[in-house]
Amino acid sequence: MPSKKFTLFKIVRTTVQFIAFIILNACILGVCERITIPLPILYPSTVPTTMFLGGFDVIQYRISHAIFPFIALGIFIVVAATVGRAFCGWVCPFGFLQDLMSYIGYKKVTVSKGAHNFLKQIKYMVLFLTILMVGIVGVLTAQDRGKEFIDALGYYAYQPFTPFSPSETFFTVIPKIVSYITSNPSQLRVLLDPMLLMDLIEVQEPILVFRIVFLGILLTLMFFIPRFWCRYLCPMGALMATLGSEYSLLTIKRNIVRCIECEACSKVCPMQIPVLKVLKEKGKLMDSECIKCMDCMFICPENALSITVME
Amino acid sequence: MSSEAKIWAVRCISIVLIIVMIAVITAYTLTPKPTIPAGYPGSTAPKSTFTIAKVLDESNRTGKPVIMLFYDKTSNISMKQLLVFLNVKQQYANRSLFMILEVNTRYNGSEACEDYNIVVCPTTISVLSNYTIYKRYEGLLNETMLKLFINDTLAAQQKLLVKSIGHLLPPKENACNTGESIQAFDLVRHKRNLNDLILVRKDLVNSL
Repeated sequence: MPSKKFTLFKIVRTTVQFIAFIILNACILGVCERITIPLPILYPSTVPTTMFLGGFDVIQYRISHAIFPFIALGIFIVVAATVGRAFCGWVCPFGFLQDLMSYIGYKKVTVSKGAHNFLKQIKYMVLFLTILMVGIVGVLTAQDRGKEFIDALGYYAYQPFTPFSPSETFFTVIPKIVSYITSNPSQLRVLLDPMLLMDLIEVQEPILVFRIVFLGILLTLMFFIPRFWCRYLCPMGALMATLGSEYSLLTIKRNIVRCIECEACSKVCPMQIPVLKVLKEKGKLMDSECIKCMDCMFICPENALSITVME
Repeated sequence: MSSEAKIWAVRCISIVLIIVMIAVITAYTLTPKPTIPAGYPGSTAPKSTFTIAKVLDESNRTGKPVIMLFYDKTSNISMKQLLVFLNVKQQYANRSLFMILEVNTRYNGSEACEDYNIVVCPTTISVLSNYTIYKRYEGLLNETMLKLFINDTLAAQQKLLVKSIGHLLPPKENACNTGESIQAFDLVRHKRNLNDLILVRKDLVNSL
């Protein structure tokens, strides 16, 4: 049974995540002037209520149009150097969704160490393939060549990852389907005709069924494996890790005297980081997978973990 | 509260939050947006005629705003506005596209007049490169005011370009929208402007 302190902390973090979601979608409050600051979160720019730009969308778009994403990368480097991947843990709406799913889930599954180490490389592969793809398109665009190739790729040329992004499916496609069905209740049969539905809700890529099935699988996995997407598949997280979130100024340190090595911190970590092992080896929680959710700090029965800045 | 009850409470709250997340976005999509009358700021500029469509597409392609003047030859104020407009046009030629639409003729104006809800001559309208009408002014703008009007539009256009990342798809290339046709169109327009200018000057001389 988690302590009162930990429960209270969970309530605070969920509240912060919810407030962040509302701020990101400030259009619902009547503020519709889009702020062109790319944030290191996986939130698509196609969400009708969004105020900010999803970082990975910006990276893809800029590179595929032969423009180096100076501002986006600059922001990400600064964020990675200061708070690491804290945006994943505290701001990202898809991360928030995953946390909520894991709260609903019955039993948490611990992935075996070998499988975990293998699976977490997939997100770097996703990042690499996406950058490679938009890089090729960017070079072709800059040289004014390969128009047929780019035309053949269509939507995938400029946003190769976005059509597969479950975040876009959840926050853009699902609300579109729901709003269509709500406004046309007699048209429920369109749900059985994906091609027609695709036209009606103006989804540009013809993989609607795949997207929904993929999202369904992920949501199911999130019940049992907390932050499944962040751990193994998120290219935005991989980018932040590549940019050096491991060496962020904000980190967690251990009080060796207080620590009883109960491993509670390692067990609670949603990213399955061997927290105690890392703390023992490096003195601080220096791990590129850490999303700074602070769960480890608040679960500690001896208050042996604390936040440290610039140490 | 028992631990089992607490777990169920957490589950229920989580489900509610997930539903809220979808609901707020869906509700926004379902909310009817206020309709703006055609031709007024915020509405989409109608492509009433072939030439208007071409200039608007050229604006979309080049990222330059369009400044449109609806004038009537029979109105003195309109003719004054035209003089000012042509003068200012020279100074902003590189940064903006200009269209002069004469109402009550079959060239451009008459069809556009209805689409743009023109009730007063002269009326000056600025359109951004995303086909959105940005500003509208009914009546005479002196040179300073017209410059302010254009500068405001240029600033908005600049903002739009910076924000262009929001419009994730690149502008579509129109098969009809070639550089040659635009140049030819510009030439025709330029000749027309010169003719208009001559007419205006004749009118002014006559009125004096």
